[in-house]
Amino acid sequence: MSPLLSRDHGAVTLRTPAVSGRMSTRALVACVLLLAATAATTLLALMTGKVGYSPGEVLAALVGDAPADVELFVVRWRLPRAVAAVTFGAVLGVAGALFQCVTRNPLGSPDIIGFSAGASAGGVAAVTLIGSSFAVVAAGTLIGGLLVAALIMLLSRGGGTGGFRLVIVGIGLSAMLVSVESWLVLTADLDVAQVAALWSVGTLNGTSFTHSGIAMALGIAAVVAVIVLLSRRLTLLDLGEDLSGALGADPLRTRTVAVLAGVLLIAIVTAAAGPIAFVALAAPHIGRRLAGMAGVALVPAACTGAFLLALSDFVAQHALPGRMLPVGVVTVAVGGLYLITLIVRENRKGVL
Amino acid sequence: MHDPVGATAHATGSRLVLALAGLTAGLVIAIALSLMVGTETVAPSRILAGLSGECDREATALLLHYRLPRTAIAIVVGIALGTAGALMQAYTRNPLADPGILGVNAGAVLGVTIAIATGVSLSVTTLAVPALIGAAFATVAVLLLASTGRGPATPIRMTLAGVALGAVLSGIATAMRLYDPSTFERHRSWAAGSVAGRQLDELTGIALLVLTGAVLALLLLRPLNAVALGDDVAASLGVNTRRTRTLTIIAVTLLVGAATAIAGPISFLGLMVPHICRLLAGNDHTRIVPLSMLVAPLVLVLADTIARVIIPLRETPVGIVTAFVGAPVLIWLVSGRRTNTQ
Repeated sequence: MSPLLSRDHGAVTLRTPAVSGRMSTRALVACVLLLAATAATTLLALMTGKVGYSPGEVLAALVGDAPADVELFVVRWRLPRAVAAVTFGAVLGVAGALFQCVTRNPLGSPDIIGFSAGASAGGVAAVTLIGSSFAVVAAGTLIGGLLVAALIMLLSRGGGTGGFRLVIVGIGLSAMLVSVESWLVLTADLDVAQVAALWSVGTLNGTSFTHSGIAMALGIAAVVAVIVLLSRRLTLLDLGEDLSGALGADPLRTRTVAVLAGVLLIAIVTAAAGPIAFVALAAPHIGRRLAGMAGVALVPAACTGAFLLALSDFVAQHALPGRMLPVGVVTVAVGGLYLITLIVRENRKGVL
Repeated sequence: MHDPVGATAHATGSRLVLALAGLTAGLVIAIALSLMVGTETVAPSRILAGLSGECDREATALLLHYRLPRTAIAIVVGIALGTAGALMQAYTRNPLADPGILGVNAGAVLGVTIAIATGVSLSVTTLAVPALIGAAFATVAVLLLASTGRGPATPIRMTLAGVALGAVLSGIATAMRLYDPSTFERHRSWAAGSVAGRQLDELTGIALLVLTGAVLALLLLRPLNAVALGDDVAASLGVNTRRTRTLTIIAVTLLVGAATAIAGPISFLGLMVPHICRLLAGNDHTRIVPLSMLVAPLVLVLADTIARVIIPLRETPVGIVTAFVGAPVLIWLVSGRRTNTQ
């Protein structure tokens, strides 16, 4: 019987009856380090705020062994937000990796090609026309995301493997959706418009387990499912359509499943926190570079996404004294700068 | 004698004259419609009476304070954005270029947003200054970003650079609006792109800037045609490419900055209008740019008239209508293999 975990040729192999996987040692080390950094950031986020606590107090509160006031601050108020940042970051990272694999374009993130805009417009429509309960917004984002994904796929049919047409069609649809969104906000009552506008930037302010607990659980489940079920197919797709087909993984089916999964992931996060920009763009690249992997790297993307969003949310809470920024503002600024360096680098390589 | 080339030129020439006549008539009809149509329809006879001041006070007020200003603004903004789009497409040799897609609008919006947030200026004419600065910044940034690679920037590279830059700039502007909602309440419809709710005296400064930009564009026609053939050819034809490029950037900045200051970000007008003109007049910038100055106001005045009535009793910002008409044009351009975009 082969051992559960084995090391060979600079890679670690995991074998269980249900799942098996192989990862280079460098990628594993990178992921562990990223998770450690995420844990440290989360601890810091739980410690700081209007009232500061020591790491010991925070840990005691987490295991239910602290005074009521400490527990109120740490577990009731800060923990949901911190957990949401980590979870949603991982979800966005994986979603970004899926879309970049399908479009075969490093810039083919859901932020740029319109999937996020679809989910966001659906959510804003739900908020302004029906109400802002989680179920309603979730349904809105999911329907919006799926409709737009279907439209983009339909309109960009036959665009070849470069994903060029996909990107341009996405940009066009995205512009239409943004104008629908601003029309909805414009015609709504001022207070509803404020809620919708704040939501449409992406914020974790006021996150609670009762409101977004379902989204967090769904997010974790979806990320695990995607990593377990799709990793191998995506790696094959990354080798090229012909090769993938020859090896028994129908490229069209892989693309369709990957897009559906990506839309679902984006919709989960968008429903709970609004469209948080650029994490899905930056996380897969940074993860892949850190892990030294070529092609699809879902696990590093998830770890990087979790760390990026945890860090961004910490910055959003503490950048301006006495004022909590929506985390979407921080990710736009940071992700935007990253995007610009990315464009410059890709240009130098002459990829685009 | 047989002169096929001359015959073709003659044929396009007469077609052009026909197109010009048709477009001018169309513009006049569009302006008349724009004055007539709205929540309350005003009959043509009342318009003529109202403009000469011999009519009931109600119609005069409606015309002079409401419909005439927004029609005039739509014309000026249309000229500005159509010309800017045609210039950008010629300059970048990119059929997908548009001030909205390439992030120039977003730059101007950010400039205006910063000015409003810091309370520097509140009149439209003074808002033009930060809008110009923002537009200039975005134009230069997107061109630099797109040209960091080897060889000339491909349309897709430039489009992605522009979309990315636009996302960042408008993200920052949105954040600033959210940070101080009460200050920006008055600017809600401006932020979506609208020609309504302004007065004629606010247009004067803007119109001067647009006029300057348009004259500059007309002076640049021949050099731009040469630059479109490639830098080497242009240089051998005696065109100073660097000066042409700098002047084009200045013209685009003037046009887009001024238009955005008064009407907010209006996308896709600059994308579709030059393509309509190309269908009418062929691939010659000396014709496309002037034709754009006629077609763009026609389209924008019509779009604004539609925006008034498409949802009864509710104003739709015209920027939303142009996005809805223009985005399909973008998709059509890439899906029909009509342009060599890659």
